[in-house]
Amino acid sequence: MNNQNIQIGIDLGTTNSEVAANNKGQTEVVKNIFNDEYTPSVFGVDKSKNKVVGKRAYERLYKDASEKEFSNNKAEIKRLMGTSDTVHFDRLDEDMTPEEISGEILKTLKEDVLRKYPGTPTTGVVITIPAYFSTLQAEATKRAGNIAGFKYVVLIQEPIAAAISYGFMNAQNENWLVYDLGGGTFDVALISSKDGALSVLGHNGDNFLGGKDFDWVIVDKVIVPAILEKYKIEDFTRGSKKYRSIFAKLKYYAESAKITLSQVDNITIEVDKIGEDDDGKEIYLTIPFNRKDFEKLIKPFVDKTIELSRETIVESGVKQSSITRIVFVGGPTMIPYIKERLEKDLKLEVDTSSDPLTVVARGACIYATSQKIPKEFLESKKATDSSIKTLRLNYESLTAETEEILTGVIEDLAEAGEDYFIQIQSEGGLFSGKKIKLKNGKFIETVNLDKNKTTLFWIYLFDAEGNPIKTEPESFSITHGLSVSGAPISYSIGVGVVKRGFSGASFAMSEEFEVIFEKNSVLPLKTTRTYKTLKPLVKGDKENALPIKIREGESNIPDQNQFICDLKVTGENIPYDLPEGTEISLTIEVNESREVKVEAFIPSIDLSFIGPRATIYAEDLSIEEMETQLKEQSDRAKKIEQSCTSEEKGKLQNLVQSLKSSLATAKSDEDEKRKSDKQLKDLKIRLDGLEKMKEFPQLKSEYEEKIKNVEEIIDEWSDQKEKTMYQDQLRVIKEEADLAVSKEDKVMLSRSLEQLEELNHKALFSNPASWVYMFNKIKETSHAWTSPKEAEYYMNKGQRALELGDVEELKRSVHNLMLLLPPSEQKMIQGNMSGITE
Amino acid sequence: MSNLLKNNAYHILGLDTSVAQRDIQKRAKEIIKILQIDDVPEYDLDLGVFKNFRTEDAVKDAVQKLTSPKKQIQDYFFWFHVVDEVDEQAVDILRKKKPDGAIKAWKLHEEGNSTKAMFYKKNLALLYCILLFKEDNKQYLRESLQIWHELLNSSKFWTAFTKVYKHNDELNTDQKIISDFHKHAPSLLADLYTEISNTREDSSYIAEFTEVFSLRGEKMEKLVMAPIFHEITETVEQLEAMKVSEDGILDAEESATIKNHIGKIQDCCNKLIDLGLYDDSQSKTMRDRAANALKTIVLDLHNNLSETDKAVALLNIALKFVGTSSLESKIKQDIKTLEEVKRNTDLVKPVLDLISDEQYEKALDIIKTDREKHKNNHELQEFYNNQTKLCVSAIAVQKYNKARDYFDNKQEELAKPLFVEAGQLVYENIDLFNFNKKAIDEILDEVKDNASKFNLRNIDQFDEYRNSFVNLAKEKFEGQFEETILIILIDSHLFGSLSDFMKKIRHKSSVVNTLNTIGWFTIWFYGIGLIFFIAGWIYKNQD
Repeated sequence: MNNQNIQIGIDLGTTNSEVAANNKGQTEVVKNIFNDEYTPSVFGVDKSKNKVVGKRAYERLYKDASEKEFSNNKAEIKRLMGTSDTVHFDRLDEDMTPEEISGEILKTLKEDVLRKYPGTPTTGVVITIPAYFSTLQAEATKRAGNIAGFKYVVLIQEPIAAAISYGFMNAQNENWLVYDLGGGTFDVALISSKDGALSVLGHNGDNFLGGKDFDWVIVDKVIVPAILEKYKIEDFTRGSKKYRSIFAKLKYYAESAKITLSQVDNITIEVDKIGEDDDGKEIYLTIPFNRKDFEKLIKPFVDKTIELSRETIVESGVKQSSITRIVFVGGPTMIPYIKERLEKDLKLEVDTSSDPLTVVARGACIYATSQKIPKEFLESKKATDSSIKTLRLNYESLTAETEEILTGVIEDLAEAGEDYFIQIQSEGGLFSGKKIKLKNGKFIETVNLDKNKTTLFWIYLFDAEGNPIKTEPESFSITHGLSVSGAPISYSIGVGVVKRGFSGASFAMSEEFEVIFEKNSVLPLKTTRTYKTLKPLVKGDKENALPIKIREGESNIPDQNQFICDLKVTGENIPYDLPEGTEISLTIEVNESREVKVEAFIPSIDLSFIGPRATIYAEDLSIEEMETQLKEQSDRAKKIEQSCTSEEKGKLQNLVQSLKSSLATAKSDEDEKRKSDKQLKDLKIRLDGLEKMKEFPQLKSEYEEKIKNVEEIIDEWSDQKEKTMYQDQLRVIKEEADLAVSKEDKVMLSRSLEQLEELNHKALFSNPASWVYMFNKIKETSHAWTSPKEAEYYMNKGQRALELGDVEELKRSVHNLMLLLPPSEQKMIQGNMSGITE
Repeated sequence: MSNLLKNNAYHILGLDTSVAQRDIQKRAKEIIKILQIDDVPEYDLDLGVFKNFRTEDAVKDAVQKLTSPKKQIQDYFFWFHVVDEVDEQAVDILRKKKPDGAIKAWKLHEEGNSTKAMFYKKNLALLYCILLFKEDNKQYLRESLQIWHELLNSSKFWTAFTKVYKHNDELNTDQKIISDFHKHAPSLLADLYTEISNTREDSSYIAEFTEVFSLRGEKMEKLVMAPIFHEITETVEQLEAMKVSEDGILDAEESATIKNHIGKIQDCCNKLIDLGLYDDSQSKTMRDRAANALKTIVLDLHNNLSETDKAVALLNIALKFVGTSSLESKIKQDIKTLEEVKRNTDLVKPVLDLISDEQYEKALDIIKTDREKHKNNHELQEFYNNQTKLCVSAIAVQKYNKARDYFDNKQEELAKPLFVEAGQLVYENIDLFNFNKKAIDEILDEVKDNASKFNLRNIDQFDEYRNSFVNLAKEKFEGQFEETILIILIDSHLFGSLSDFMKKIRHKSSVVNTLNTIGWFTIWFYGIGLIFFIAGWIYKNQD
């Protein structure tokens, strides 16, 4: 068996997990002890304190659904990956992290493989993750793999794994859409297959949309109302901790109903053994439920998946007509309504030839065989036999070509005085290469492959006399099928950089998100960028660090992207003070396991700053903070809505509404809290986008309104000389602004608006009537003066000035009175100024 | 920095744009494997202009670009299109590293408006651009710009390009991507010339580009304009932070600092002029900021240090680099105002000198003559009004004080006419002050009436009666000329009558109360004197 490449692929799902292994070149989904191809992703502790994974834990959690079992079994742990939350298991009296729990699930799957195929190398594994997993979630998955005993973990996105599996069987030149609706997440990827080479043209997803949502909507909208119609139960909600085990059971009923409705049109949900109501009455009821009602309930979710699919197509830049089919992945895709809707709405044929439950694991395994395990993870024979020459080989383990170029180098022979020769031969004899003379220890060879098979090649090294010399490795294998470039990253990764740039008419300083690696860049990635320090670093100062924050996402505003990690550069170890503007280079690396490493280096003092990372978990979220932000963003949305189309307005309102609902249940559900955070970020990004898009039209309408206002103010002017002067100034501004409008020049229009505002103020405040108005405005309402006594004095003074027609004194009084007002009231009075000039 | 030509995916892979997707993957694998044994492969279109561009990361990036419908078009546009024997011939010559020959080959066939000729032109322009990274050649610069300008503005070229692109495109690119690229192409070209300019360290490349295309790209903004704007901003902030008048004088060091800052701003403006970006809207906005910063200094110099000449000089400098017409017109207005102030200062000097010497009557004579001479000068008329007010008030106070002295010395016969003169002077000029004449007449009638009724029985109510007017004056006109003037006006009548009355009762013994009253007046007159002194000081310093 080839030990140099990974042999196992695992689909670690929210609801179920599957494992596939490479068995002599064939990918096979390995069944568990219950002879099932999938294992429920549930971990628990039985009464004998044994750790249990899969069906047994699932049944305890959902079928028994007692409070005791609820405290000893955990499902859907995938939703908590990357967070610092822990789960308590009463029987162990232990808190476990999400990666530890996932590690237990992975361990079980590994054991399933070893039971069926003992001796399968388990050094490395490919684990699939949702396309829209954040780096922190991906890193947590990698740690789970390590906990399960896999030394080398490669991650690949679920829809891409599915595409590999599908593409391996159907290698035609076409584009297709992978629609992956799992238990907890939805991913969609547009894949191009060209001459056996697969590439991801675009992907999209929602980490908070899956079959689980269908179950809960049945519970919330069908089962609970039916129970409450018949029985009296106080505070019978999902958010109530008292009823959590009952709700787990109800979810089980809902899930069963959902699965059955994929086969039949009408069912009856039987609710039994969930306890008594508040009056002590045993709860038992049957609820008739049909497919049509179910479809109505899940319609909003399906709409969302269709919208995301459409966006993926548009964003990828391919013609819709070039997409030939949709490939289904995930259990919920077996719901007939989803197939009907996709065919109808996207007008694409749905290909159901792949098993949606195992296609991801298969793809992961095929991809695994193309992944070489780095030599630091492999045992070397060279330590025991120094005559063995280490050969560094470069080839594709999985390829669509029947001829594959490979290069190699034997460092030991780079400067050898004698000649050495290398020869490659395939095991089946299809290919027998000539002896190639090494040049500086290097060689280039092209080998032929068996179509759709894995070919094993032997490497022979000879000296000038023809004596064979052992090499490590002594063989390698290449599978013919398709070419996969590697796993792309799902989000752009970048760093917050302070820059000066034009915002309106000002050249202002702001923090921008500078993309280091673009979305879809193929792993592994490494690059170095040079920046300058924003502030001085003082020798020995441990506190005032230069924060360098790495984030992922597509927004220009750093905070609206997801935080990955930060690196704090302090003056602790520097030999002397460093001024502002000192050069600092930043190296960011993302490996195949999606681990992010950051290093800062200051060349002038030859000093590196490497980690430690402040956290490996996502930021803690505050519901109160999110509620405040929701209010702010809702207000912002209302303002933007005024210049939106009805469609844009509708989408915005949906986002706000959905965020409100998630926040309502976020207090008792960590998952909903994370969902709210994501939705809040999405809302902000949407609003940013709309603001940017509407920036010019908004500026234009602001200009039109303002010019009218200023014209009116100046027209009312009695002093002809001043009137003419202001009119002249207005004319010049107007000429410039009109030109800016015709050229759609935002900078110049903003500048004209600034000047218009200045003129407005000048004109307004040099008009005595404005001061009279302002004084009367202050006088007519009561205020929260900072000093009532002083206020009274200036009020009297102002009144006298008003009677005597003393404008200067009136101005002084108003000015002093304004200073005695709280800022909010000052604004209110000044704000009211603009319209009134009498 | 990503370079449109150096990092062009086709360049990295050593291919031309007619290549098939399959060959892209194949070539990428080949290069990576060779790079992995520390060798670097070379291909036909490597002209030896760029170094170290064919790296593993660059190859991976190139494959990604050429498999993305959104990205492929950009690299496709900015690379050689090899379709026929003319192109083949040119590439053959390029292979031999003889770009001049390739230029000739393409030039020979670029005449005319045929589709083929247009693509030869594009190849030629690309070759010029590549060569510009290696050598400073203004002819290549101008010719390339001319070709790009012609192609980018030719609908025939774009139609042909779209057709050819679609024909070669294996990615099924949506038409929208092609249309978007069309719109974006000039800006990308701006980036290309910015890269050339940076490599050559010669701003004339950008200047020539902006002259032909009148636009700026993202790179031009970030790499060329932002550093200049940054410098302007820093200078402006330093100018704005200057507190020239704080120590009451514009010293040599401050003058030098201002000069230095102006120099920096002018250098920045010159750079913008060299780049042909002086009239760009962002540049105009920054120039406005610089001009405004000078205006801040001007205000300080003029208002607080009376350095009108220097203020005008600075405004004239600001006028040289101001960005927008509206600010320009404002600065011009400011200059006009300051110059007017300067001119008026010369005209008002004789009057102010006399006032300073307390020769108020002479000052009033000059005012009378000059007022007529400058009847159309609004500012001067305002000045004369104020100075007349000041002089009238001062003369009235002088007479009043003298009258009070006589009164104190019990020379009522000398005091009485002076009280009357002071009152008359004020009343004759009452229109200069901020009074309602009808109300004043009513008050005076009442005062006259009451003053005529003074006798020994009611003389002790004099203080109370008079105080009611003093309070009214204070309440309505505190700190203003009007306060003093009103009191003089009333007192001239009250004390006039009191003088008469005092004469009559002098020989009588019961004068104690009256003397008490006089004692009080003494204190009060000192107060009046002080107000006059302050008022006079204010007026003197007003202009």
